[in-house]
Amino acid sequence: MSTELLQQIAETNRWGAIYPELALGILALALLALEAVLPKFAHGLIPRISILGQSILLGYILLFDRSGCCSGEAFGGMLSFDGTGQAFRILFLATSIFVSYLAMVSLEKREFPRIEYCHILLVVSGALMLLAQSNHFVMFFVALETATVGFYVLVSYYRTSYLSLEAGLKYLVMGALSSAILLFGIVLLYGAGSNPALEGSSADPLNFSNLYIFLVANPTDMMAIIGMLLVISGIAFKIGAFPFQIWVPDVYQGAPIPTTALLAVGSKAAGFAMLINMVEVFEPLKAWMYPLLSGIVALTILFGNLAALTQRNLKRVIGMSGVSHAGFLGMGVLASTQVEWATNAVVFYLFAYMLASMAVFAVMAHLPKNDDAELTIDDLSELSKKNGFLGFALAVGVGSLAGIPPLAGFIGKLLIFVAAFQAELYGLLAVGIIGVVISIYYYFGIIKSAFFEAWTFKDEELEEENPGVPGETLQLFGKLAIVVAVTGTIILGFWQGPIGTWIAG
Amino acid sequence: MLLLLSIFAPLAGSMASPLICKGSGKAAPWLMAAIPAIIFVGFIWHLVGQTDADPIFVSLDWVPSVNVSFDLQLDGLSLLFGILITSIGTFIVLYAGGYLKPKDHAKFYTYLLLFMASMLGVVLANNTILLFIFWELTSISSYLIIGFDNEKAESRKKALQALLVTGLGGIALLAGLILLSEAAETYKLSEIIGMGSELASKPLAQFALPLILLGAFTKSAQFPFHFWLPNAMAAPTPASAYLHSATMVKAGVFLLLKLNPIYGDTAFWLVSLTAAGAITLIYGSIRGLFQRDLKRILAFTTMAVLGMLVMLIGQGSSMAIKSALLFLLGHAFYKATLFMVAGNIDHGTGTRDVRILGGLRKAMPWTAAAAMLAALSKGGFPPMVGFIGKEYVYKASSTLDALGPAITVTALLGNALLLSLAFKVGIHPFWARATEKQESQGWSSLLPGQPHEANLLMLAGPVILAFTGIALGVTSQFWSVGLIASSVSTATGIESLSKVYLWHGFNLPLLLSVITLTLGIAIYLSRQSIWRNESIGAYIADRDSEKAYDFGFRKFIESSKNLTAKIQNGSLRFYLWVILVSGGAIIGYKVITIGVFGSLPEPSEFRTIHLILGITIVSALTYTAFTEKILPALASLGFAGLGIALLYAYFGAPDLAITQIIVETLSIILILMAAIKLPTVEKRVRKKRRIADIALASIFGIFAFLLTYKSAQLQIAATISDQLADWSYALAKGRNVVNVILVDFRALDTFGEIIVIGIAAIGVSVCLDPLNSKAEQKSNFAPIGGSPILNYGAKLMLPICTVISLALLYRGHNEPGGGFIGGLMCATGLILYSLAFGTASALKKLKLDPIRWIALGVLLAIFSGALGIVSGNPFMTGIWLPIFELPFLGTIHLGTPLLFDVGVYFVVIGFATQCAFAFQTTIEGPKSNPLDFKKSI
Repeated sequence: MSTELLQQIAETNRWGAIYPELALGILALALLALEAVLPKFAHGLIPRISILGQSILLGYILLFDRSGCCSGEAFGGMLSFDGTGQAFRILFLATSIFVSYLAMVSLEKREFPRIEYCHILLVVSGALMLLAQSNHFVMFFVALETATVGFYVLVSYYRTSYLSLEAGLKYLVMGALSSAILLFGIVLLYGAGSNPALEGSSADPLNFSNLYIFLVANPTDMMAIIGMLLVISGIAFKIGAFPFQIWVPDVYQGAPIPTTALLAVGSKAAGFAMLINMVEVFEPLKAWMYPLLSGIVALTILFGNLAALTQRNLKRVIGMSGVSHAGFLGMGVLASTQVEWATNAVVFYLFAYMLASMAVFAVMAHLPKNDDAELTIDDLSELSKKNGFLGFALAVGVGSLAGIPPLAGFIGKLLIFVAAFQAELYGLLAVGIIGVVISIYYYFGIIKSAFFEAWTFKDEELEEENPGVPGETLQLFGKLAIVVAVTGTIILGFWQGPIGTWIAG
Repeated sequence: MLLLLSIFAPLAGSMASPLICKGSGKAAPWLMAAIPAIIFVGFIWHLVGQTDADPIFVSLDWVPSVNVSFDLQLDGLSLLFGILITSIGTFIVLYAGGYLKPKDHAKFYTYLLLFMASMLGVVLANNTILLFIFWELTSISSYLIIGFDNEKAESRKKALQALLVTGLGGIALLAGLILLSEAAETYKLSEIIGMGSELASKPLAQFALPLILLGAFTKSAQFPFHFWLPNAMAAPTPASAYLHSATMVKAGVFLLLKLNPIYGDTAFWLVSLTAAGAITLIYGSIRGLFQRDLKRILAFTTMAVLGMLVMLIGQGSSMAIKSALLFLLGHAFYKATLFMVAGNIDHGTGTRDVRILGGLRKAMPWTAAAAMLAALSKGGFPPMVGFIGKEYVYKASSTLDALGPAITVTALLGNALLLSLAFKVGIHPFWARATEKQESQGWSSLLPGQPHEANLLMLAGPVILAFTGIALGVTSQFWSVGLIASSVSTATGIESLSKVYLWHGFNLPLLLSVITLTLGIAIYLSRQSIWRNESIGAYIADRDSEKAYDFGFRKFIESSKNLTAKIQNGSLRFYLWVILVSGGAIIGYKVITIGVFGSLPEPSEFRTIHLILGITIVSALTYTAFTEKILPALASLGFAGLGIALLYAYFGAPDLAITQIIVETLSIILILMAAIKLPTVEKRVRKKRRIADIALASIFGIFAFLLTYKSAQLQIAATISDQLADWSYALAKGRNVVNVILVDFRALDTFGEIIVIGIAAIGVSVCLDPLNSKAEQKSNFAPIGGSPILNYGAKLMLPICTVISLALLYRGHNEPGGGFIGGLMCATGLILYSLAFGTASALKKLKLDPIRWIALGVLLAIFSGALGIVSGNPFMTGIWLPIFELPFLGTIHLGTPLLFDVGVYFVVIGFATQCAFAFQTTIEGPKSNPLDFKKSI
């Protein structure tokens, strides 16, 4: 093969531009190496080292590289860097740190090894970062599968628990199906875009910019449209949009708490990173895409809220409410086709959602019940009395998820609603408002349970089996993580500062 | 400064409440009361020192991207409300100190001050979004307060009801406010209101009006959204006193007053406010007649008063607004007093049932006095402030043109009913004479507790507020310009400086007042007969809109339960169905709407062999799908696989065909091993499901077929395969292009792949192999097989397979074959052997552990690549020895790519055997308990 071509491509490799992903990869390997080198009693340090390493990386990015060191394409058009991509990097890294912490707490309770978990988590996070910045369907798919395969393991990590294994199996089968749908779509796009008989075709139609050029020239191409529909369906699975939300409750329930958190935040955010890109690429096909997306968004908001209404299992409530959040975010993505700053509003919403969810999951991780698949709303009863700190964190987290002013979640919803209003999506706004009203009921159900004392039947025998007090496992590290999530949620509600200016574009 | 203080001081107090209450003990109520008291003084200072009517503003940035800023303003109306909130608030805090147990203080003050801060925020906000935020915060903090007695399930339920109803209204309000702001192109409330009635003609603003009214009506408990208010009296008494007098329910009225300059002239405003207000007034007071619980009576009167206010605001005239404000002012003071009185009675006697109460004036003299004053004010007796309010209502209604008489009559009836209710609460418990039955048994014995006077904290509020009622009435001409006239200016947009007087001489309003008093007292005196006819009250209550709410709510929850149970039913099969059907529906919709597939390509030349192979494959697969037994299903599946391999061979892809055959064989063996572990199933699926499955599968099959068929028509840009074929021999000395690509052109990729395979094999050995491949231990296991045919066949096949595999490996560079296929071939022989004689014997034949074979292969591959570096070229550059001849074997051409291929060969052998053996060992039982193969399938 001609070496010139290869060299040409190689020259666009900008390794420096992907230093966060490389750093995560190296850290992941270092964890395994440390496990081999360190004596057994020091193994408890390794998850802490992982958190420390990621925190240093996050600190560096936040201090010196907020808006992204690089822009434009790299690696032969495989990746493309911009401000939104950098924001997603920060989001995934922060998520990863929180999840590492959750893993540290909850895996320790169940006495499962934590080093492999941290290792896979780092790899998944790196893949999610690359996914958000991919500019080519090959990169897109490889990054997606790297993350998804990691998820298969993380979901079924409690391999002695039937629920966890069932969740893993379900996620594997359904995830494989959705990947197949997505891949089929990509193949159709490739077939359509590489047809030299059509105007705008190219030898590399899987590059987003090339594909866009092709679609502009052929907005009614049958194969391209079907390809687009399949790709959007595949992404809808990742973000848990109706009717592809079907996997969400069972998998969320069975998975260990840290994995549920990663699925709820990381996987969903990655889905939206993809969707934001796809909406731009498929813009020429809007006649087909917008009605589909609008329908999905409306149904997602309604179904998510309706289904969450009667759930008692905590992770299922959070899962179904996450579905409705996907609907609100989808509304923002749709608005971004008309209103430029809506994309930033979506990113802000994701940050707010991340902080609030992490606060809630952290509280769940510190509840005394061992089997976290069985946690119900009743397990929260009198939490504020037993541990005021956790009660307050839960209230702030749930309040922010519900969009209670003036917490960050409210500002996020407000931004999206105003954006949708400016984009004239009145129908969706009406649905959104109905959704918010319904959601008040179940979010306040959680708060009610945590804050109001319910008279419960107390059996003498059951009393003895009382597993413990919430927050017994709480250490300085954990307090710090919860404090960060809670203060972040409160501060972002009152003051957006530079983020606010960034959102306004 | 005053504005920021008035919001942040209660907020800070709310946060610090646990600390303050813990630290100061008994002084806590006084300390907490200082917060509203200081703000109150600030407001009064402002009122007195105010030289002109211009409002003051504060503005801080908040969410600049959507024009939300922390804008506050203090105009006449805000000042009036601010003074009410803080003055009554001060006494409520004190009262709560006496009413609640000390252990509850911290929590209650936290909620109460949060509520106070948000209520002050509502009246001071000068940004529509900010207004909404505080509006929602009042809903939420009142939820916490109402549910405060949360050990009662009823209390919690009612709190949630209040939150849902007002929350629903709040969200509608947000939508309305955004619409209004977009119509005005500003989010500043003062600027929006400054635009006046011009704004109301814009379509967006017209859409906004019903939404805003929904918000205001739910908050101010207008019919048919009223039901949460009487239920909210589940709150502790101090909270009820506060919510009903100066706050919460008044927020809706406040908003209506504020927006009156914009919408006041529209017909929709007039009609909806008048209708809702009038109905609420009459309905509320009639419902009140039939109640026995003191607090419930008061709650219904609050509702009635709100109706009166809304009705008056609907008229929009300056006089109507003035009367509404005066009425509101009077109501705030007497309602707070009466609630606290009710609390004292409850505290002193243990009951709130008005029918068994009576003659308490001796036991509770102070409370009785306060109650008396408040009831008189409420009844509209001069010189109370309530009297002024009533007078102005009549004054306003008699000056209206069209609706005047109707409003007058409604107001008259409402006022008369209110008076009777006021007496029932404020007079009856203290002055009523005992009935005969009560006389005979003794008053106190019928009461749950011994009547006694309340303590100082609980008396300060009612007594002082009741006297304020008189004081305000007598001195009305002094304060009315600063307080009422400037509020009227705000609420009408027209400057107003007129004073309010207590006495107007003999005129129509006075006559109406006299009629009201007579009528009201008459109704009061007939209270016993009204109570006897309680069934009428029950009849009305049964038809209340609350029933509709309850019904809707229950159905809603039920439908949600059903929906979730149906859709999220946990069945993986159903889930897959949903995904496939939705995916199919999305595509199907597209296909149906824009025609199927356009033109399809012409079918190519048709031969008999196509037909034969096609029928073979299809019938084999149909059999697989329909048979109930696993073994035949597997056999037919394998048969179909062979058919496909023949198809490949026929179309000139021998490499593919060979690979297909071997992979087919291995995968069948693997499935077979898994099948042993599966439980035997009698009937696998129901018939209906079957049909649905077949339909779905057919649709997807046809779709996939059409799409594949269609893509044959595509012209892909010039393929690289021709060029690779040209390069193949010239550059890499190989005629088998596939193999050349694998071991030469893309050798680096292949290298990566074999490493992945190696890692996977290690994973398999860790996960599946219970004994970590120790051959000695495995020899204790019984082999799966045992049939003589298998044993002889396997023995025979092992050497044959090995030899063929070596031949495939060697000839791979030029003819079909190669390291991959060869490796699979060799592994197949070994696996067959292991089935017959057990993994232990097969491992012995393999000599090395599978993992070591993999390691050896990887090392060989590295070595072959490194030779390229030695020769001065990049890694993996092919180096070839000169061609030479050998007897029997013909031309021999050796090079590093061949060596690399040998590496691949080893890795594949290692991987395939590792997987198969590891899997097998999980099935092979100990010799003592051999597995019955036939039985388990």
